[in-house]
Amino acid sequence: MAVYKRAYRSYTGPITAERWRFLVLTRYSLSQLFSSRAFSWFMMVTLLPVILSAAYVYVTNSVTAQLVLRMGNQSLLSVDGTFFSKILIAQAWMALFLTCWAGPLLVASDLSNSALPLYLSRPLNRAEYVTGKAAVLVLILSCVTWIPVLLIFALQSSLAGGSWAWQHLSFVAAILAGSFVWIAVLTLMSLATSAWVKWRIVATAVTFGLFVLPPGFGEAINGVMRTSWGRVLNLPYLLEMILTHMLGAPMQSHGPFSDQPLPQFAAWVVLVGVCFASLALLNKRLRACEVVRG
Amino acid sequence: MSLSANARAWITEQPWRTWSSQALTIARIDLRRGLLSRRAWWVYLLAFAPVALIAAHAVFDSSQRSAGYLEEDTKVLAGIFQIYYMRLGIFFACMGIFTWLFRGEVAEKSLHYQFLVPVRREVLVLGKFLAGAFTAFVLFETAVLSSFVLMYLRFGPLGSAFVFSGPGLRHLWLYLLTTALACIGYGSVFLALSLVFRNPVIPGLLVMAWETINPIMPAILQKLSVAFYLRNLCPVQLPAEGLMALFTVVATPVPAVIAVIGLFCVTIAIIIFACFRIRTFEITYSTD
Repeated sequence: MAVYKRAYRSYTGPITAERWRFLVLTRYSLSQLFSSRAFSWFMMVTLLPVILSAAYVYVTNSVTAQLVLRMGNQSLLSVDGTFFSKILIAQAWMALFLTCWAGPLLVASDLSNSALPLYLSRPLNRAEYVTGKAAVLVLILSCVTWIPVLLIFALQSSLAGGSWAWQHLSFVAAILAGSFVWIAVLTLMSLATSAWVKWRIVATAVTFGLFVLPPGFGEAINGVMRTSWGRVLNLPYLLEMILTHMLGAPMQSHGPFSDQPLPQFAAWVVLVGVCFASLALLNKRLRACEVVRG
Repeated sequence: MSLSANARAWITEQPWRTWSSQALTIARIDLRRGLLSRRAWWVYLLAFAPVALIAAHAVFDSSQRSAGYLEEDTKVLAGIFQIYYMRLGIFFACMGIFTWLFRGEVAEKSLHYQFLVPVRREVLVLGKFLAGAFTAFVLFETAVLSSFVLMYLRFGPLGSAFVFSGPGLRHLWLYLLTTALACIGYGSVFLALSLVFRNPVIPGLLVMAWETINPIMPAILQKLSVAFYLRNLCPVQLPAEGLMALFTVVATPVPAVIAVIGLFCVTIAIIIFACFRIRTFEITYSTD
């Protein structure tokens, strides 16, 4: 067998531009996520409410479809702010489930296997590492929040005529603003919890728990203290507040103890505060070196 | 020899004493790691956060002590119990405690030590379940009892009349019973899930979704959940709120005895399943 001399040769292939290097992490993380068939299926399941909504929009605008379904003159709910707020809230919950699945896979395994120094020893800084990992969630969550809801908006615009779109152009801003706030909250909280908890199973539970447990405790605060400020712990409720306000839809009753609404600024302050707190936690945790005690 | 005689002979031949002492030893080790370790702080937080809140209320709201407030506080306590403890606190605590009994060992790469010890795997399951159940019992029974005492203590004679001469003691007994059943019911479910799935939290979330939307299901499907039996045992019923109220299907309540026996039977069935499952359980630390 011939034995050839092997010596070091530098890489001669194409080099990714410096500003887009974080996308390498995104690409590999996405391929890892979608290598699971269950995740791909789950991704499709999260779009079910959108598909049903699209069918609803079509039936609402089509007299033929209404006649075929024998609806007669029965007036359907109109496609208005309430309709869009409900779809977006349903999709926000789907986004939360997706985050619980995908989020802990991104950072937790790197930290639990002490792989972070390996990443950071390459031409990649901490901010790019976080951006690369966050981009995965932003892409996935965009696919289940603002993109499909804007497609429904486009469908309604095409079926109801151009004037409808002009009259309701503010909906687009509301959909985008609400979605981006929620995506930012989910992404940063998920990355921060994964970075702190390390174990994937625990990170999944903690990510979901942070959205479900505090609302329960908040209701306890409302009941015991006879107030409605306990709802600042309820992040999905705060998102609903922002969305319904921006879309001009009425707010639904929540919880058995208090119906007093919170001021809008409280919702913004809490959601933005959660994002900054998560960033601070990530900054503290993601280091190129690790101190091992014991 | 007849079948029953065979069964009797098999039962008498088994080393029950050894097994029970082994199970208790395993339980003791896991208790030390679960209940008394620093890592368990979050379970204490889950259990005692409402207690701290009620204590603050008892200290600072000293003016609200009339009979009207007592009635209102009874509803508030029922709300805290049903919304916080039953639906969230106990559920998540059991998810953490019981899932970690096996998955924690896998994550820490130490389960093979327990499998190498000359102990039947079924005994290992029972020992770990005992440890988890005891942890959940102690924390949540104490928390619910403290919440109850603190809620009525501030009413003075009115509160003690409600507890000792009114329906208070019955309420307390039912809260404690429901808590105990919730701990073992959800505990057994999560123990079994941790032996079936690599990441049992995701199926756990599906269980939670099922338990949450259960009231809007047809009556027959409602009976396939832990929450249905627990709701039946609660002394004060809360009205459904919001969109759920619109679709809630009122199922015929089952008698308390049947609810208790039913939950016990479900728990035993799930533990038996877990015992069968552990026999074929394999560890691959690299993939887990």
